[in-house]
Amino acid sequence: MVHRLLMHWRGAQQSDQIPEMTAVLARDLGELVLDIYVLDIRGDEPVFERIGSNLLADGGKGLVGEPVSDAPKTMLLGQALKYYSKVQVKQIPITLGGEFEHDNGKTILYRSLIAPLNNEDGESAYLLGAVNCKEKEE
Amino acid sequence: MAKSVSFEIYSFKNGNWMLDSVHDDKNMAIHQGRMLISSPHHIAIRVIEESYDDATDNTTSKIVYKEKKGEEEEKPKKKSKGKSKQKKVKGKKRKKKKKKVNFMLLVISFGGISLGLLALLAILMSELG
Repeated sequence: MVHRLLMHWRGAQQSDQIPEMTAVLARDLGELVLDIYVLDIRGDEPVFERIGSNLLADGGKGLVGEPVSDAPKTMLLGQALKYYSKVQVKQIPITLGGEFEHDNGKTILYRSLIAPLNNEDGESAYLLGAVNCKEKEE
Repeated sequence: MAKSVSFEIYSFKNGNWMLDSVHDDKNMAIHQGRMLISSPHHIAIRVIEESYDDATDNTTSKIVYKEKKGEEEEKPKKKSKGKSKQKKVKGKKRKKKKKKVNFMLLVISFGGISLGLLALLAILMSELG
């Protein structure tokens, strides 16, 4: 999933520049849209611009328009975005996997992607995130 | 203490190696590297494994994948070396032939001169006596 979204991100690039958010989201992302989120990084603290329905169902409800610090660390979204500042600084896609103790008591393995996005003026304005997960077998 | 490993993809652009992306999975990084080199915007790709050891505060790095466009084009050059060898062999044969021809010409001309001298001697001998 992370790989497929990264390929969409690259496919939306003009030459090798950071793609615009609209160019990435305009692509046929299929079921990927359920697992992606977008952060608006133009303010002091990034805020959720949009959140896919799978992530909304996993602790993301009511977070659109809210700062990233509001995302619970015991939920998938809170874990997936914890390295967003690295992407913001380096302006490159970064993938990271890990595990955490979910709010429901289960150990969750996840793989996350965060990639930079520009606005229509070519300014660094957003971060695109995606995450998939599975329960760790005991 | 933990040892963290990441895989950094570098692309060669405008005379510099530029960081393209970072991954925590080797297979994914190499797969991405292969995808990148097949696109027209990248001429050379490297995937570098970066290992950081918390205990020793040491970072080690090694190249785990590298690809450069035009590598295949360089190979025929090696073949062309073979061709040049063939040319050299042909050149040697030609030189040998030339030497033979020159030697034959020398023998013929030497023979002609000696025949001429003999004829001259015969004339002188007959006149003298």
